[in-house]
Amino acid sequence: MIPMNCISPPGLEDTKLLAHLDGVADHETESHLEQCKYCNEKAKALARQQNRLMTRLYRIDCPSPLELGEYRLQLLTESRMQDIKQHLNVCPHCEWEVAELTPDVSPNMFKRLWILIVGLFGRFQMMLRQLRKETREVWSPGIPALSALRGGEKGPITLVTDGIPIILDFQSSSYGQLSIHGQVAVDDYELWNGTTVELRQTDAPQRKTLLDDLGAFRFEEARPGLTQIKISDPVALIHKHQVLFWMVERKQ
Amino acid sequence: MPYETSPQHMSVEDLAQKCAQETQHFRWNQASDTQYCFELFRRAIANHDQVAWDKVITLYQWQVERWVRRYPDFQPSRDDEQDFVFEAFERFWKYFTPDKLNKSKNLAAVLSYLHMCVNGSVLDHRRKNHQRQVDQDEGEEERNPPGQDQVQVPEEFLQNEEFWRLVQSRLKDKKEQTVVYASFSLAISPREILDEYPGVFRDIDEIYQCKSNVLARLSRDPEIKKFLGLND
Repeated sequence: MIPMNCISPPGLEDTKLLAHLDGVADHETESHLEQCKYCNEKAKALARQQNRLMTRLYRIDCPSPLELGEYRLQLLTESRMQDIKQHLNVCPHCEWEVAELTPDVSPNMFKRLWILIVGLFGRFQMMLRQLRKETREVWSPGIPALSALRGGEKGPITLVTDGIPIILDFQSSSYGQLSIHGQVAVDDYELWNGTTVELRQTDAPQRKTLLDDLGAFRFEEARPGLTQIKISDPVALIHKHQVLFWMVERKQ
Repeated sequence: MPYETSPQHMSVEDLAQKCAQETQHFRWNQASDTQYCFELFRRAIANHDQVAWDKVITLYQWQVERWVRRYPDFQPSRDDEQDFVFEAFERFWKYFTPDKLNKSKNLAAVLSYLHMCVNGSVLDHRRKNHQRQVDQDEGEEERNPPGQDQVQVPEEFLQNEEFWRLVQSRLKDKKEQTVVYASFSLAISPREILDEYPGVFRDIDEIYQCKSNVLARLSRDPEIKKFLGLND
């Protein structure tokens, strides 16, 4: 039961309680709060009020990271640049984020050394190719071979993720949308039967379906654009195999 | 430059091949020509060429993944990493307009924006996590259980904006506005307020007095109490 009065009325002032909540109260205040339930309850009420204010108001007018990035790249209007500059003078959070948004353009010594080694190795490879008169197609880990159009006029395409081929075909449906027919090319279809497949596209709710007993799946009325397909691994359930591509509008 | 090899007159397929080759040269620290990759981006952004967009994603997905992985103090799982890659390309597609392309002039500037989209995506994730932490400290986890998407819906954002205007209407002077803004929006301590706003306050005691007056006034205001759920 909460007492009606302080043990030594009229009780601590709110300024003292606020200092206590910030961890900077004097010794006398701390000693009193160790003994007085009434003042303790007042402090808790103040803490609740402050916390709820912060929940509502935290970073209420901070620019988004996108806008901070455009500020850093000087792509905003002059007036908005000035607004953000003034905001950065008082907001430590945004000031820190602007520093985070700046790409690292000054390689350190070890990075320079690495680039030098890679460059020398690259020149050696070029010399070997010239000696063997290889064809013009250049291929290295990290730069994928250019694949067929996704959703264009050509037929099914195959994308490989984590060593698993995923065959995708696209067909026009109504109002410029597409249906996606996919299949996971694996040996043990029984293992993959019922595995979740997720479709993610810009400005559209995420959708899910399941692989059938032949490892196939289908999404109707997908829109052209940036597309991500994730397929859960039937063994390592927390892992997902993913492909990312731009689904091109298919001509009828 | 002969017509056939001028980037503006090449097919998207040939452009993409040349871009891949020149990117390879760049990665091997050799002399490289950026005009092919720049023309590919130009067609994707200015011409809304979907095939060009697809090539951009194919050619730069590895770079975006690398930027996500190399973000300081950030180790997402492989699955989350791919989500950030998606979000980075999504931001780039939405916000790198033809007008910004015209201001960019070269491939380095375009890639700076793409890199900024990666960093912005990570920062947004951190802000949401931090907001979730603020909510949890208050016991808001009952309203927004962990694990659920913590994205602030537009209605909540508008309510907070409306609440902020309401609070501002209840403040008497610039000192009170400064204390409330700095304490609850910037979340800085009275000591930091004294440093950030020199000449506004005499000392820390004045800041505490000002804060105490504001909190007492707001706690008696029925509209404010309703917003904060402090009617009990």
